Amino acid sequence: MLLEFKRVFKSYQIGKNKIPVLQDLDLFVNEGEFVSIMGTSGSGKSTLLHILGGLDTPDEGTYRFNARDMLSLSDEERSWIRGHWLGFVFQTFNLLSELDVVGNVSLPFTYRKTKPEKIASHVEHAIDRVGLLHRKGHRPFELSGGEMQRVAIARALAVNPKMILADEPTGNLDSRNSEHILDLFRELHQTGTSIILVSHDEKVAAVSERILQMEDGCLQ
Amino acid sequence: MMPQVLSFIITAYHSLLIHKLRSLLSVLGVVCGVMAVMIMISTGEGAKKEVLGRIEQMGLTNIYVNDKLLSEELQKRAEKKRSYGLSLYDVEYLRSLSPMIVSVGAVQKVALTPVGTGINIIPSIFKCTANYGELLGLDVRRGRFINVQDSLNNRQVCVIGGLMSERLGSDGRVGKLIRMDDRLYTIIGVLRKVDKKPVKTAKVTNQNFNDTIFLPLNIPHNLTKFGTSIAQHSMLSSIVVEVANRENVEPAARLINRAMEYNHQGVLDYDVIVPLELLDQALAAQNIFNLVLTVIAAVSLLVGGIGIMNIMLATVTERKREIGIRRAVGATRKDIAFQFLAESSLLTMCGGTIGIAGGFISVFVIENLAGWPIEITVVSVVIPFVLACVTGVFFGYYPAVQAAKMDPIKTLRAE
Ligand SMILES: Nc1ncnc2c1ncn2[C@@H]1O[C@H](COP(=O)(O)OP(=O)(O)OP(=O)(O)O)[C@@H](O)[C@H]1O
Ligand SMILES: [Mg+2]
Repeated sequence: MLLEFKRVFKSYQIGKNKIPVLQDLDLFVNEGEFVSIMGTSGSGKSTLLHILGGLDTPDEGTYRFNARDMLSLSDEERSWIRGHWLGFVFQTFNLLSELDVVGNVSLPFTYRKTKPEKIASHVEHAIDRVGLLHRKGHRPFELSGGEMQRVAIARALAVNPKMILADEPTGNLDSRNSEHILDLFRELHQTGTSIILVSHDEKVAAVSERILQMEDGCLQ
Repeated sequence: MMPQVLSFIITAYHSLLIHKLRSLLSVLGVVCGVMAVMIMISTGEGAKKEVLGRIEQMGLTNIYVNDKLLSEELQKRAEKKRSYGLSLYDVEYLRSLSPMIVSVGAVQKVALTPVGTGINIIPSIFKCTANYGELLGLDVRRGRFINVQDSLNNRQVCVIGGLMSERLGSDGRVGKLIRMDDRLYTIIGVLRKVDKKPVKTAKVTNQNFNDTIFLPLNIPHNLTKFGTSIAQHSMLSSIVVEVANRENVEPAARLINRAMEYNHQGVLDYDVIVPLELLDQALAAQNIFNLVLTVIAAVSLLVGGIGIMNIMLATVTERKREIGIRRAVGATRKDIAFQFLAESSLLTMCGGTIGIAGGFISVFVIENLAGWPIEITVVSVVIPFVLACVTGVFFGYYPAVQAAKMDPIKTLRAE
């Protein structure tokens, strides 16, 4: 079992009101599994993904990832896991506009102890996998939305993570570009990477092996 | 490490570039502060070096007893006490004062006029004891200095300064004659010409003896303390006392002071000057200037530092998203703090570099317009630069901590 998420609660305090977002949520994901999560807007999908990525912490519950108790780790340890085992893909791409494609894809290596010559080959390979070698030196504003998302995917897969967390990766893309991105996810899945994909779109969710519905703070 | 630093530098560079003017203004205080510190150190070192040079020339183991002009009223009172300024009796007395004293020399300014030399420079003419050359470390280039025989036999010889010799041309060589008033003197030695310009300070003139003529000072065989003839005819300008080593300077100076007080019946018609003490005086004068500059430097660095803090806080807010992205790909809080700390230091380092460049220019201007001695050492560049870096780290600390504390979720949602 790669991921064990048990009895998780999360709520946000707004003024005096406590708004529950995740309520007694369980989630188990096997190594190499492709899971997609669907749900209405505001149902807590992003919140879940952030907790899974170690960027946020739940109020209650347990979370084990790759045999580590994620909730008891220090900031350093959790950052290490993000940098080595996890890759994020966001709806809004989240690329750094000052850096070119190579710079953006190299970003995770900033916080890893990888030899410079190895970094170059990892980065090159990742850019090649998303088919953007001819755009290596371009900066984000010179790329289309689809291309930007491919750069973001290259950044996520460059470190060869165990799991990729994608939050509506096709939300800002047209159907042709979406198709291309989904192809990439399929390919990634075939090479053994676990993927958790959040989407509104049933067609998008259909690429996964297992579709979960987010409802009332729980997964069905 | 390499790509890390590279992506830091690129993002920092862009953030600075977008706000070129803002960055420049924020760093202005640091520039001023660094400049002030550099000027302070350079002028301080310059003054110190100059004074040290002068002390070395005067001799670190020398103590000077100089003649002091009294007001007319004081002069009358002094004469009542039979004190007539520095005399050869003082010389003899000091010579036998203590075993610490190795040698005592004397010099007397005389009013003679060289005749028929064809030059319109009026040289300083001194009568001096034979050991005077050695006491002051005078460098004789040709011939020899005055010796004891010249002195005892009151020979008509002289030693002239290097520039004097040059001015006289072929008449200024060893063996030639110079006429002063109604007497002829044979040149027996020529001093090396000194190139450095003499600089005046409060108490001592840094003479280079370039335009000086030395004559033997005749010492009569028997001296009596209250012999008016000696008192009147031996009005010395200065007595030089050499002690065995530097440790002796202070006790010997005390002894000399006491002896002179006794000799002159408490009439202060002399000054005891210890070259080592001149250093303190020169540095004391420098201190006022330093105080002003320290205040300027401190205020500039403080204001500059606050400017840096301000701009860094703005930068942190502007670059929230970047912080979130970096955290998502594996940056720890420490990594983020380090990045912004490095950035603020980099900013102040740039300011420091500009300040040092400005410092070089200011120091050059001060040297040439005000004529102050300047000494640019490694210290006068390194200290201001280090101060700039420290300012960057100190005032960049708070913004860096703010950046590290930022919640990555909020920054990633902030789109
Ligand atoms: N920092 C916060 N403070 C208060 N409430 C928050 C905060 N972040 C999220 N929420 C609330 O938590 C709920 C879940 O938000 P979340 O972003 O996880 O939803 P989502 O399922 O991703 O929605 P969408 O499909 O629109 O992206 C929402 O009602 C949201 O308003
Ligand atoms: Mg969402």
